Amino acid sequence: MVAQLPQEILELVFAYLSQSTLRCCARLVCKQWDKICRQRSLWRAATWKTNMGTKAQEKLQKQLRRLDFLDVWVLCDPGLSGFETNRHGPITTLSRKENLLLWNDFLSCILTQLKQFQLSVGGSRTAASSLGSQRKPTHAYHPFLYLKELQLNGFALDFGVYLEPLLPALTGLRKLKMMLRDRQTVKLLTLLKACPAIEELHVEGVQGQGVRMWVLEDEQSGSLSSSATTFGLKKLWLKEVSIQEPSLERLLDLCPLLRTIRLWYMNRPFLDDPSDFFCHYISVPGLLRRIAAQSLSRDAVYVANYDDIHYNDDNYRLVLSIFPELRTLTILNTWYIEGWILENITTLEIVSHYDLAGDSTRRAISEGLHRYLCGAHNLKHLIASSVYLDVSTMFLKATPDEQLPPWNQLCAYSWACQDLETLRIGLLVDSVPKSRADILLNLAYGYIGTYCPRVRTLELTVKSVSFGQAARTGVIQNNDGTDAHPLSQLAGLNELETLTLRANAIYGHIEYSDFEWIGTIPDRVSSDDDDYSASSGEYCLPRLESFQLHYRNSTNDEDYRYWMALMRELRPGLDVRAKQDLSIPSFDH
Amino acid sequence: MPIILQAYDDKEFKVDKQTAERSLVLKSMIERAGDSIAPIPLPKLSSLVLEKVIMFCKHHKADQVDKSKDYEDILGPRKMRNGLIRDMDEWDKEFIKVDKDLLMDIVMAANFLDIKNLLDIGCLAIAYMLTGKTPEEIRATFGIPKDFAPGEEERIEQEHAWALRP
Repeated sequence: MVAQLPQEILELVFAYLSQSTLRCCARLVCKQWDKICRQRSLWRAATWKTNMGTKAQEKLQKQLRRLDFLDVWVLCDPGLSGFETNRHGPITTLSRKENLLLWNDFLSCILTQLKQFQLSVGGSRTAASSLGSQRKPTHAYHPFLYLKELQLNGFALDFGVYLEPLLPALTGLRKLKMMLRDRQTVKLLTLLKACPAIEELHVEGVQGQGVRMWVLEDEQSGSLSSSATTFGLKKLWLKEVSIQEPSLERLLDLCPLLRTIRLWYMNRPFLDDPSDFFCHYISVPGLLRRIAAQSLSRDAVYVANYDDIHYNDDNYRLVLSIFPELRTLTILNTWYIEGWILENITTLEIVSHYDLAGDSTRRAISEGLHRYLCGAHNLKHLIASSVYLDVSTMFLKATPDEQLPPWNQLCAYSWACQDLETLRIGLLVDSVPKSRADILLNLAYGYIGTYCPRVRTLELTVKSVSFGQAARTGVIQNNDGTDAHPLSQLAGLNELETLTLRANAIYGHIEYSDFEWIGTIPDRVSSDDDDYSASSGEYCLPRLESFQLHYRNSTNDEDYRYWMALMRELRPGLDVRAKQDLSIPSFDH
Repeated sequence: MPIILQAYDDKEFKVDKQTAERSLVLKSMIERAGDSIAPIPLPKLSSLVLEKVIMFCKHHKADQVDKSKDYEDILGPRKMRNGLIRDMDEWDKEFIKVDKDLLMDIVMAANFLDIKNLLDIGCLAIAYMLTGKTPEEIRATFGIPKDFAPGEEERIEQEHAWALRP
C-alpha cells in the first residue's frame, strides 16, 4: 500500500502532484505525508534578476502565484554574473536615480500582477492593514499565494517605495531578507502585521550611506497597548541599521518566540562614545534575555572552525565582541551583567578584533571570564581562541564582593561548567618570573583536566610548550614517581575527541617519554569508577580521534616528524598533524 | 544469450539481454558476470509482477537510453508534473491500468530494479489516483492510518487556511 511505500518513492509521486493537491490534500493524510510535503525539494523557486530578458520576466510573472521562494537580484551592472562578490566589500556608490530605475523594473513587474488581479495597492498603510484584517476576498487572485521566502538582494531598496506596496501580497511569508538604502524608516509593526507568519527577518543597511532609522511605527502609547497580538518572529538579523533600545525591547515583547538576534554595526552614526557601544544590550522578560552587539569588522581576523558545533533553537548563544576602543572598565562591566542571563547560556563565543595577547585589558577580560566560568553551570561550548586567560587569575582566591551577582560568589575558585563540550581558549601567564610561570601553565593543564571532565573538543593556545628535558619540572609526576609531561594531566578526559595544541614556540626536543601516557592503558585494578571500567582495555583518552600540534616558529622540523611517527606508533589510527600556523600570536609585547 | 530471471515463487522467465538491460541493476549484474550468467533470483518479486515488468521492458527495449536526460531529470526540477499523463503513450497508458495493489508492487519493483521509465509512469499513475481525492478518501483507498494527534490536523489545515480555497 501507499503507506508502505518508501519515502523516496513517495517523493517521486508527490513531485507529480499539483501544488493545490499537495497543499489541500496530501498534507492532511498523515504525518509522514505532511513532512514530505514540507520539503524544500517540492518548493517552487525562482530568481528574478535585473539583467534577465523581457521574455523571461514575463514568464516569471505568470508563475509568481505558484512560487514558494523568490530570490530577487538587483544588479548595478547587467554584465555582473553574481552579486556575491560585491556584497562584503565596499559597495560602489550608486546614484539614487540609478537605484530607483533598477528597483522599478522589479516593482513594476510585481505591481502589474497586483493590478491585474484587482488587488488594491496604493502603498498606503490603510490598504495594508485593512487587508491584514480581512484577507479573504482577494485569496483567489493573490499574486503570491504560497510565497514563503523572499530575498531582495542587491543594492539597497527603499522600504516605503518598494516594499510597503508589496506587503499586502506577502501574507504567507516566512522569511524575508532585504537590503535598505539610506535614511529609511522601516515600519516593523506594519511589516509584522502584514506578514503574520514571518519567522525570519534579515535587514541590512548600506555602509557609509548615512543614517538608517529603524523603528516600530505608532509609538504612541495608546496604540501600543491596544495591539495585544504577538508575532511568531524567531530570528532577526540586523546589519548597519539603527534601532533604538525601546524599539527592540518592544519588539521582543511582541515576539515571544524570538530567540536569535544578531546585530552587526549597529547604530554606527551614533557611536560617539565607543565605550558605551559594547553595553548595548537589552533586557528581555522572555527567553532571550540579553543581546550583545556583535560587530564584525572587515579587517578582523578570527581563525576558528565552528563547523563542528551544531546550534539548535534551544541553545542560548551569546556572542561577545571586544574592540580596541573599549575601556577596560566597560569590558569588566560586561562580565558582571547579571548572572541570571549568563547562567542560561549554553554557547559563549568571544570574538576579538585585535591581538589581545599583548593588551593591557587582557587581565580584566581574563578575570571576568574566569569569574563567569566559575558560575556557568549550563555552558556547553566556549569558543574564545583569541582570548587569553591569565592562568594566575585561575588560581587567585576571589574575595567576596557584594557587588557581584550571587552565582559569581558561590564558587569563586573552580569552574562550574562540568558539561563543557567545546573549549577553545588561550592560556597565558603574565607578570610572574618565568620559572613560576612555567609551573602555573603546567598546573593549568591539570585544572582543565579536572574541571572540564566532559570536554570533547579542546584547543589550547599557549606561548610555549616544552618537551624533553625542559619539561621535567618535577611538579607533575607519574604514579611511579618519575617526572611526567604536564600534558599528561589531560589523561582523565574520557570523552575527548579532538585535541589541538597551538603554541608560539616549542622548546626542547620531543621525546618518547613526553607522550608515553597517550599510548598507555590506564590501570583499572584499583578503580571502581563506572566510567573507567566502561572503557576497559582502552587507552587513556579512549575517544581521541585527532591530535594536532600547531606552532608559529619552526625551530626543528625533525622533531615534528619524529612526533608524528611516535604518535602513530603509540596510537594507530589517530589523526595526527603538525603544522605551522601564523595566526598564533607571537606574544612579543 | 537468454537471461533467466527467477521470481520468488521459483517461476523462471527467459529474457534477452537487451530487455534485461532496461534495468540498470540487472545491467550491471550482467556486465560483471560476463557470458556465464547464472539464473538471477529476484526474491522480492512475485511472478505476476515480474511478468508485468518484463512486458514493459520488452516493449521499451529499443528505446534510446539517454543518460544526459536522466541526469537532468534527477538534478533539475521536475518539469513534467501534470502535463505528463497526456504525454504518456497509449501503450504505457494501457499497461499501467492495473489495480492499485499491483501498481504498488510494480513501482516497488521498478525502484528495486532501477528502471527509470517504469518508475516514472508508476509514480505518475499513483499521483493520478491521488488527485481529486479528499484526505479521507485517500486514507480509505490506500489504507493509511490517521496518525495525527488530536488538534494537529486542524493546526495543519489552519496553516494555509486562507490559501486553500480554490
